[in-house]
Amino acid sequence: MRQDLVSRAQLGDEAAFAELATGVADRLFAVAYRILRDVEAANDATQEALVTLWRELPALRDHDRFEAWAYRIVVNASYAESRRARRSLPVALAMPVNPDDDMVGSVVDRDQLERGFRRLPAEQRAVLVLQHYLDLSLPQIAEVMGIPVGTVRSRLHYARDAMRAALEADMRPIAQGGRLA
Amino acid sequence: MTVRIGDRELDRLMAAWMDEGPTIVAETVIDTALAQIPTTRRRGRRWRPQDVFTDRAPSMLRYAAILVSLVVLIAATAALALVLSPDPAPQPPGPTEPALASATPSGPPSTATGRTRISITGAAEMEGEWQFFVADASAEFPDLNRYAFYQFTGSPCDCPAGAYLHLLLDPDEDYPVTVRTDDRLVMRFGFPSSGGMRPDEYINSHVSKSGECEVVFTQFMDTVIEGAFTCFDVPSEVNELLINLAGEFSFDPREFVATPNQ
Repeated sequence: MRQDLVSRAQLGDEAAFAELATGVADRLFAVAYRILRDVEAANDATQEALVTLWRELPALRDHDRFEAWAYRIVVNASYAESRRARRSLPVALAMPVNPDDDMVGSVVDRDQLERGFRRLPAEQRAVLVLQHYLDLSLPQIAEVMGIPVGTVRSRLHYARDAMRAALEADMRPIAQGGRLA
Repeated sequence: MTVRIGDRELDRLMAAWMDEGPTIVAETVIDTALAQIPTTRRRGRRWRPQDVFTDRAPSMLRYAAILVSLVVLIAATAALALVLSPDPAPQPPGPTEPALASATPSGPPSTATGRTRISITGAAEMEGEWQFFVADASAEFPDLNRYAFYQFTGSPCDCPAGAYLHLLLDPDEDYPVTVRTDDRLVMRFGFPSSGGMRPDEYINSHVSKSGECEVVFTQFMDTVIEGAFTCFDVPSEVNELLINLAGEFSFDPREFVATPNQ
């Protein structure tokens, strides 16, 4: 079904592309949001990605790779949006925080993750999102991003270090206060 | 007190945190994008020679290409059989050898051996204590006996104390080494655990050319470093680095810490 839509859209069938775009847009938006951490910017990146999908679709050869290819396009759109916007994004949480919710530990964890993440370059954000949100393997991330696996590994390494450092920086004073002892 | 977050805990936190947040795009985004489509000029499809074998090519062209390929294949098989047949008649070596050679993958290029030389032509920013360490050839760790370590200590990059830069090079290769770093590198090495990268990861990540005559990092103050590796007593920082590497990659650093080359 997906391949059929891709084939038809590739040949210029706008209705097929509309169906294809509607089916993939949420996932693209979710990825863009997690890279950019801003709904408005993610909307812009998603919109740009959808138009790019249409424009570049005739060049896609392997229809099975449509999804990976679409992710690559939205990641690139997110980079562009990140560069273009250079908005000073407020460090604010998008979701209400439930103190009983242990999913992300605590408000402090969320805040630290958010801050640490925002300090990362977009390229490092992207690999974290692809790994932790989409659960892609290193080779899959490499394919999506069009970079060698070694580079993916390196970006993950630095990004994870930064995130860990952000969390640990917050935990240190708590530990000194004896709460973690 | 230092609190260390383990990999699993970090993974769990990251995954949970990323699962939060919006996942539904506004309908207006899709509508606006689709509204642009009729006026968006599309990229033409790129053509590749192999496309003639697919259903993307016109059928006549496809049949013609397949026919030509068959003819070429038959001719090549016949020619190969002729060359390889045990013909007692003497053959001039000239015409046949290149044909055979072209069908055989060439072996790895020979490498020049000798001491690697580094002459330091660094700028004032590179002042500081320099220490080098060449792994002993008997080291069992895969690849480490092929690499030399050096590190900056002090303030070569105005790094915070404890930050270091180590370069992993093949000490058997005789080539000048050019290193350019940049302030991003300083940031990268600002992380305490950045020394835990595997040599091949490191080179894949930061070295644009390896095994050739130049090793280039991304720019940093346009500082160029060339020099010869010299062994000193293994400093504690290197020892620590090796122990970290040992923990990650299962080797025993004591072997070549105790027996540094030279």
